[in-house]
Amino acid sequence: MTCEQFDQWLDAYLEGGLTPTQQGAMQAHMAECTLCHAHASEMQAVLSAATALPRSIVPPRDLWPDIAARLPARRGVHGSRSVLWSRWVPLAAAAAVLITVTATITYRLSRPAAPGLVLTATAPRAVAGFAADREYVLAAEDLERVLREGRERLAPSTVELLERNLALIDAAIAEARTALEADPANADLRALLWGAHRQKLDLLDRATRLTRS
Amino acid sequence: MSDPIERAREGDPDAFRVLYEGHVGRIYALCLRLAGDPGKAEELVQDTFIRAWEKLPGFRGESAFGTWLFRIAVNVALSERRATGRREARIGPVADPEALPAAGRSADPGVRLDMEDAIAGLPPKARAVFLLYDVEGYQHAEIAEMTGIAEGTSKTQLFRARRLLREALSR
Repeated sequence: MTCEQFDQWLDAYLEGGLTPTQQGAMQAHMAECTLCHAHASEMQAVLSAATALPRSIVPPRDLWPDIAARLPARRGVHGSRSVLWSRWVPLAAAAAVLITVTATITYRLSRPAAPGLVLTATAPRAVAGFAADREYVLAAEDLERVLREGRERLAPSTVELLERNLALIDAAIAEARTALEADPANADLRALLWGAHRQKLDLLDRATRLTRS
Repeated sequence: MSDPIERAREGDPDAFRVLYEGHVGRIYALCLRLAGDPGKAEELVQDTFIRAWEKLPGFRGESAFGTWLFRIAVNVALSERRATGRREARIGPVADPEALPAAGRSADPGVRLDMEDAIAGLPPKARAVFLLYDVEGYQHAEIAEMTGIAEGTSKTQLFRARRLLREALSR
């Protein structure tokens, strides 16, 4: 056996893919060729190192909010949630453009709520450093504006119920934000915050549809 | 209906998040090694899951969901590579080797160069085939289907990758 042939068969040899006769020839060659023996040992080390590599690595940050903001809606499936997402995704995209302008952000986040459907003062504030939080806030603001414009078409008892539930969700959002500011790397808190935001958008979406019915 | 794949296929983003959380570690590891750059890897992971969401209604369960997702990640990574016009000879070491896990570094005293760095220095196609075959355990037929190369090409690229790594690690 030549060294060249040894190298051609080496991979199959290490993977156990040779016949007993071929294996014997490989072993005989290694017994008399120190260079090929060394090459085989080095290759075995490469394969062992590859096997030892971790197959899972946690990303340094939570990528889900960015992914969620980009998910296209599926038309006509999953009941009201798909309606929510089909409505929210373009709003979030619009909001993402808006937040690139600092002055615009400052204006939008600091402006007082218009009269009408009352929202708690905690709602417009966003967690510093979390773009998704700002996008949720802006998307909710857009829906709130639509809702205020159609408010007179809702029964007073419905408005009262909406306000009560929105206040509860806003309180949950505020609580999650406070906790997240103290512990920004906590993925559970982020999940809680995004969940509360989605609940709010879902509720606002349902309410705005009521104003049109 | 409790299967998150079924629910995600019906358009439920919460169910899709369950799938994301169950697979993001493996997809990120693959993308990080394919891209050799943590920032680019994050982009590839995001694009992979967006593509998966779009294609999920067509997922028929003929392969495991993880394998299906892997195929998308490989396609996204290789497409991105083609789009940026990079060529094999231009590939350098990872931008931030510290982003790669310490557990991935070889404990073999005969292997002096870090394994992750050595993989990052491979040409893209050879790197992809090596990762899929020797790290992830896919067969050449599966790799050929995932990457769109011929099975024989996959074998050739693996042969090349292993020898380049052996050379790099034994310097």
